[in-house]
Amino acid sequence: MSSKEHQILAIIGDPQKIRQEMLDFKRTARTFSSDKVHLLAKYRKQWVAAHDGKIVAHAAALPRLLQILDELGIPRQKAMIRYIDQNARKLIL
Amino acid sequence: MLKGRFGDTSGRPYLEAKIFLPRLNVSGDISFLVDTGADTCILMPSDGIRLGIDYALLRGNRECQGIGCTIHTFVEKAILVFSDEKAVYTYSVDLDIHALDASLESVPSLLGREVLDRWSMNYNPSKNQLTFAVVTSDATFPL
Repeated sequence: MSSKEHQILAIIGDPQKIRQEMLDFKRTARTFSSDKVHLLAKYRKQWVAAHDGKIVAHAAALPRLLQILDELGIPRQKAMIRYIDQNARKLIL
Repeated sequence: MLKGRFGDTSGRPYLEAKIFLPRLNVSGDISFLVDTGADTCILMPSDGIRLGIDYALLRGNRECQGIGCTIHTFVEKAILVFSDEKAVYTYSVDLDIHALDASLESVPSLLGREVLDRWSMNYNPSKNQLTFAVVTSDATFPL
């Protein structure tokens, strides 16, 4: 293993653990890809957080949503957050 | 093969990654919007806040030209990590971090060409297929 690879490994940690954490997050992310109608019907114009593969919180504003995550003991870094709106602004990036 | 998704209520292409900002001792998971029109990767405010970045510690000032205006971003050394069933792939990048701006809270972070140029991409929304074959990486760790 090269010195560069050693340096990177020292920062990211165990690749097997990384892989498992990423699989968990992908499962959480797909919460926002698999149930469009339900999300729109229930959380329109809301900030929504998912963790561990399911919706765990919602709020009208982002700061409040993050506060709820903290109250629930859910690590923000492992949660996924999106604003749900059918007519969200068009993005031209 | 990395697998992305078409997400949210918008149909936009996303890919999940793990991000490490060593100087700030910050790490976490991100769902990036795949953006072949972006030269670099940019971390937007909602992700920055969620990850717990202390914006007072940020430095650097890079101009980024977008439609309508030029923005100034902070720049931070970062490692982006992606994985499939075979390996973990890492990329060292100079990550642009957008300043806090409530009007941009709903805009997702962007995965730009400094990473995308190192893959080949299959983009086929009609078949719900979004996959990436890794061509090169800064470091690959087999699983």
